[in-house]
Amino acid sequence: MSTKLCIRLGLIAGAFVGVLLSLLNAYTACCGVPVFPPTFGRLALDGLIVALLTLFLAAAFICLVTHLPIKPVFVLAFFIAFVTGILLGPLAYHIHNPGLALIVCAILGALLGWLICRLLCGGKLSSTFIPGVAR
Amino acid sequence: MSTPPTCGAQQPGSEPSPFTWWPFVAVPAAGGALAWIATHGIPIINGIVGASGTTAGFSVLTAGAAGAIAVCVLVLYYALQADGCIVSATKGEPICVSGIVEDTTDENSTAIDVLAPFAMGPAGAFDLVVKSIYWKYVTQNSYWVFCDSLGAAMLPCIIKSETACGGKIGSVAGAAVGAVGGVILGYIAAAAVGGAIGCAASGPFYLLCLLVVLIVAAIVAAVVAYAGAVIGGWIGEGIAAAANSGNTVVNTWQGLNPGDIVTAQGNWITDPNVGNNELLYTTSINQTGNVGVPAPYTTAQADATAPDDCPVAPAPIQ
Repeated sequence: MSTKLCIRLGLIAGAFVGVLLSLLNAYTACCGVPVFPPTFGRLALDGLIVALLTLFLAAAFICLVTHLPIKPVFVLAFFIAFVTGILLGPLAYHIHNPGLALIVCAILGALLGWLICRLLCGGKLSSTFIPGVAR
Repeated sequence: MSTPPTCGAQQPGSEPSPFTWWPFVAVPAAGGALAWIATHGIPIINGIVGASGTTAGFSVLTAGAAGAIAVCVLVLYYALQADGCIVSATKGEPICVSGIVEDTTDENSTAIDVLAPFAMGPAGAFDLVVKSIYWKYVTQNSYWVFCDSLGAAMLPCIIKSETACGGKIGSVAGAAVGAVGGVILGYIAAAAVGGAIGCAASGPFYLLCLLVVLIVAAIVAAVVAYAGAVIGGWIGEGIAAAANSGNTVVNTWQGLNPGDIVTAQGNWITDPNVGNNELLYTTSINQTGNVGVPAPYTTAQADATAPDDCPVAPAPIQ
């Protein structure tokens, strides 16, 4: 595995968090209904849900079409989803254009994915370097 | 006889990766499309599902479109690989090599065939322990050399799958049709879920409730688009399989066994991922016999086989 996988996972998670959280803003603004002011924690939770769901499906597909070991891919997806969801959820909510939110969050997600790879594995991924995972 | 090739890495560093262009196209294109849908909806679909608001209705529609677009990008990512199906394979040099078949690999996967026909790869490959006069084809410009357990240099020869190509083309068409249906069904499903759970504007879980509605729209649209891609892929595979049942290269490859003495011709390239040289794809296989002993084989055994029908002195390669 290389950092490419992390970058792609981060990009996918960021893109979906960006679109859906941005749409959430548009949705809540719809009928002039006052809602609870969204706190950072609540938006982070929403971002985390979207990112986890997205990367679970992405990891399942990756394991289907490649020969990569299952556990490390899912653990990596979890780490990336955790970070991108929490950090990008509140950001995406405040970008009112879903297209712009997708682009911005996809780029930031890719950067976060790359960063996570560098931190966890020094750039080159091996299942033995991912904490808690033995191949 | 020249010096035998060194197995494994050939030069310091790794092969430079080709530029990955697809995210730079897909992300802005998807972003632009979703920005437009969020403000205008999708003209025909607006009328079908009754979405009219620039906020609530179009938001759900945009969430569905996001799911459908994601599947379309996924299918196009595989369909537009330079594998000789829709986009031409990397152009190399036409060469001819001869040697002993070390092993054959069937790359067909029933799981991928059924669940992701657009991601099907080549039909398979065989590793050829080449005669020493063909060592340059294994080593020249390569970053990696594959050897068998006895240290004999091998050239992987890849077999193209016309069935997989049919699957990719069918998947593209299927995903396009499925995406339209998916957006409509996603909107209807999200509206039904939203009505059923009744997101109370004053409740603490209001945001989460609305998020569930958007997620339902995206997932239903993605699932329907994916189903369209899979069904289209199956149809494409069926048509391609019927049209290419007499493919002599595939038929000959399927009959190969370790120890077979073969002459193979094909498009000689350096693999962009691993850095080894290979035939992508093999265009002809001529089996002339079998050495009669089990693998692994040595270059000396390959050299001891009868003269092949390739040119005696390989043309110099640039």
